[in-house]
Amino acid sequence: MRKEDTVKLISAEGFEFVISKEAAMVSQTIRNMLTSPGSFAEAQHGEVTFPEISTTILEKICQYFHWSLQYASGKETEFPIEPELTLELMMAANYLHT
Amino acid sequence: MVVLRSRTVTPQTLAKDSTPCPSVIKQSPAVPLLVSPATPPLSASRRSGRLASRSPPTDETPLTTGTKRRRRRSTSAGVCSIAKNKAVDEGNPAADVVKQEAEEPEASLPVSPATPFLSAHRRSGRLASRSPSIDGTPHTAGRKRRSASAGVSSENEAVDEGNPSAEGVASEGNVIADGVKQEAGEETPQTTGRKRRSASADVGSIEENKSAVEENQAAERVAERVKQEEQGNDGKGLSLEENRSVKRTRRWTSEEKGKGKLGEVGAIDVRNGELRVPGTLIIDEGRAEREGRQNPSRQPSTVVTEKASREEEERLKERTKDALSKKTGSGSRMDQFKDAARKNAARFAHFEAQEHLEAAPPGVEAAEQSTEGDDEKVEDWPGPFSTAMKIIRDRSNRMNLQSEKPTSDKANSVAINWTPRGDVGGCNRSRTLVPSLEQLCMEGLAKNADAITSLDCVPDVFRHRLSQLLCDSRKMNTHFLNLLACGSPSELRIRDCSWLTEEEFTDCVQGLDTSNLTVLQLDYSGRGIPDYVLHSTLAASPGSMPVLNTLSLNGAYRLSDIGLRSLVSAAPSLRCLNLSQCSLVSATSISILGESLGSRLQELYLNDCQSIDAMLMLPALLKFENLEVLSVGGIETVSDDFITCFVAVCGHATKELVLSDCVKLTDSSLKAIATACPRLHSLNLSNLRQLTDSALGYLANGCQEIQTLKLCRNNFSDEAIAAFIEASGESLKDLSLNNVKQVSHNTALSVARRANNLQSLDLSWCRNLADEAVGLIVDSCLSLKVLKIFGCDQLTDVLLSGHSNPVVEIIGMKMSPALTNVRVIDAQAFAVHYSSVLSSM
Repeated sequence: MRKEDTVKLISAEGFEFVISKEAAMVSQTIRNMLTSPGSFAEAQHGEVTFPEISTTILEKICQYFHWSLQYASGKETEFPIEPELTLELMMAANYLHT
Repeated sequence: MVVLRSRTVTPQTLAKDSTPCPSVIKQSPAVPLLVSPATPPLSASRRSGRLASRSPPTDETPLTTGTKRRRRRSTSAGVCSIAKNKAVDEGNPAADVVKQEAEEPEASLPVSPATPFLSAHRRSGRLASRSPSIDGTPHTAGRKRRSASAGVSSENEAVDEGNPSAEGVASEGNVIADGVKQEAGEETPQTTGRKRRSASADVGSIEENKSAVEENQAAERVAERVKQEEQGNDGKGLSLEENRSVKRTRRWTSEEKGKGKLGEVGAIDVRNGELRVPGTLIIDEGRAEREGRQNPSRQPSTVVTEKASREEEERLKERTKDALSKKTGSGSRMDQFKDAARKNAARFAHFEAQEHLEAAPPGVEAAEQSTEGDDEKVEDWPGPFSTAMKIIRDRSNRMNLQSEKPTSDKANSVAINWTPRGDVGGCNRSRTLVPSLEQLCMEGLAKNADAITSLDCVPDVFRHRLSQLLCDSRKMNTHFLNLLACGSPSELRIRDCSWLTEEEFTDCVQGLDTSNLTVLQLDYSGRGIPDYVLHSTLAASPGSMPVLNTLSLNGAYRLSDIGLRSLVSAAPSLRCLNLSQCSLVSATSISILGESLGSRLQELYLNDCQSIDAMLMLPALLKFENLEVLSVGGIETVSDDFITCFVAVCGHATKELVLSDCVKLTDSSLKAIATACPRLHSLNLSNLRQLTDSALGYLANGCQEIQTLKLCRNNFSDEAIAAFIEASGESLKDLSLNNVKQVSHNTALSVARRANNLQSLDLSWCRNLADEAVGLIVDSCLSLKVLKIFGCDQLTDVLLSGHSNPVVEIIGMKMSPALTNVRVIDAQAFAVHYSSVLSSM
């Protein structure tokens, strides 16, 4: 993947997740950050930082992005969520509007 | 119970009525039959068994110990048949006890086991047979016919009860229902079905109210009677049975009489919270309860035996006796039927406009004549509505002339150009189908709710959503309630508290820190919140909930005026109060609210509060100067005068009015509303049959900011609705035209043209709309998110696959889970709907 096609999501602990833009756009919040007409720093650098979201949660979210693309293209599977993550994951998902 | 008091069972009465028939006492050897009809009797006894467990556990009165004693004795009665019917034995642990008592004389007849099946049977039959007498029409002839048929059908039912098959229960109920339907010529099967259901539902709710209030007294009375029965039991079981059947019919009629009157001390039911058909035997239920506790599986089968053997011969003899005694004993009983029917008619039946007018007192007709003069005035005003009407009428006339179609075929008089373009929307639509991560997490949490240990950092929005999900899936319990109550919560919302008992409520609330509580919602909590519990918990001290601004006690049927008074003193800054379906709340409560809250109250919901007389509460209502939302749906005493007086004083602030089912309202109240409520945002006019097109005219001319309009079963014409939308459709966000039969192409065109901000549209049961019309609407209303088309069989896949709106969700063409379409207060919406909470603090 070329650099222009990817975004970097940075968790609270500093871990960086590099995913395709199409996957990141599943989140309405990220989509707005990257595509809105005003020039956000995120759009220019291609990086988004999430100081409130921990690494495990952010990893799960990235997995959800890819699962969502897969689901929309027809392959409908189950998305497994570990019970201990559920509460935090829900709040992060709400923040990301996904 | 009133009935039982009037005719106590004593040996003398038994001697009078009895015609003992020894041949009947033998038991039928029909063993194999017993196993099959296990289900309805089983469910009946299990129901009664569950009944028993639900009765207040704190109640350790002599009654319960007495019942235990009696249970053993009556079990022995069933033993004889049990011993014979080994096939029925389902490994009940009481088998040993039963065998020991087998030595007891067989003379103690197995009267008791007859009961669960009997009651279930009769319950279903009664349900069908009694309802026609409840829902009355203005035609007295029809009513007489029906009450006669009710008498006849009860006898038929008695004969049919000899039939032990389980299928007989259901089919018999259906047979009676069909018979009723045939006789009820003027009503459609749909309406009778609805009446029956609503009749039984209403009956049940009324009964619940009464039972909750007086349960202990009734229980003791039943115990007394049961004791008396036991004494008269030996060797006289048959006469008792006959006696009981005669009593049965009489009990029915007095109960009917009692049913219509709320708050009448006498007419009560023993069990609390159970949907009960009044005609059933209390004694039987009492026994069924005790039997059910011990041998839920065994009794039903013995029941069948007894019934099979005895009933057949008994009924035949008794039927003639019953018929005679009923006819001679009272023409007054027939009158009681009619009285009850008259009282309950308006609540259960959906009248056609003409029928209702016939029954209305002459005063109403005079008022209507005066409004007829106004009718022409609305049309003559050069307002937007009248011009729109003219245009529409001209247009349809022109179409008729051009196409030379017969003018009666108005449905197609307006041409609609719409071609389905399916390919555009296809790929976009799939995106909405992917379940969001929030939703997935929410479902996961709901599934594992018991494993949640703390909700500390979870914002209120999520708590509400989770609580709602759990209530909907019946998984709500004290564990989650305690989680919600932890710390010092600011909002506590539980949508369904029907599982909550008094003890659980008390335990939870005593530990609750209410100092930060701003929103409290405990809907359907009637069972757990009687007055005395409130006094000891929430309302213990005045001002204990200082910042509470929203309180919802929907369905708190044990809450009375006194309880409300203490609640209001505990929550002095209340701004939004929901007391819907609180049947004990009366006009006195409104006066209390008026004195203490006065101009602070902004929203008041009183739907279906049957004890409130509208005119009595009017003076108190006028004190609420800032009332923005008034919801009085279902209160029949709401009249034109009430509305006119209310809006004259408080109309300037009114933003939402719910007037559904207030059937007395006519166009004059709409005129008053239109002139006095310029800021009206939302109006609900469901089931107001007397409104005519001029009502819409007034509304269009007067209320320019209408965003939500709910119409259901109104008699507006297609042109009038179209004209209304032309005039004020810009501001509409939520429009419901559910069951407004005449909606057709004119409306569709207007909606497509003008309703640009429309987000939710309900076109259920509008049969005159074709695919093209609805397709045009969907493609033109770009803000449309939800379209409901339940019952629109005429719409096909051409619409579903042919529309090109990527966002809209079309509900009602295919089966969908019921709860997804129920309107719920949006968890993210503010507690007080129309004004921000902070503004007045």
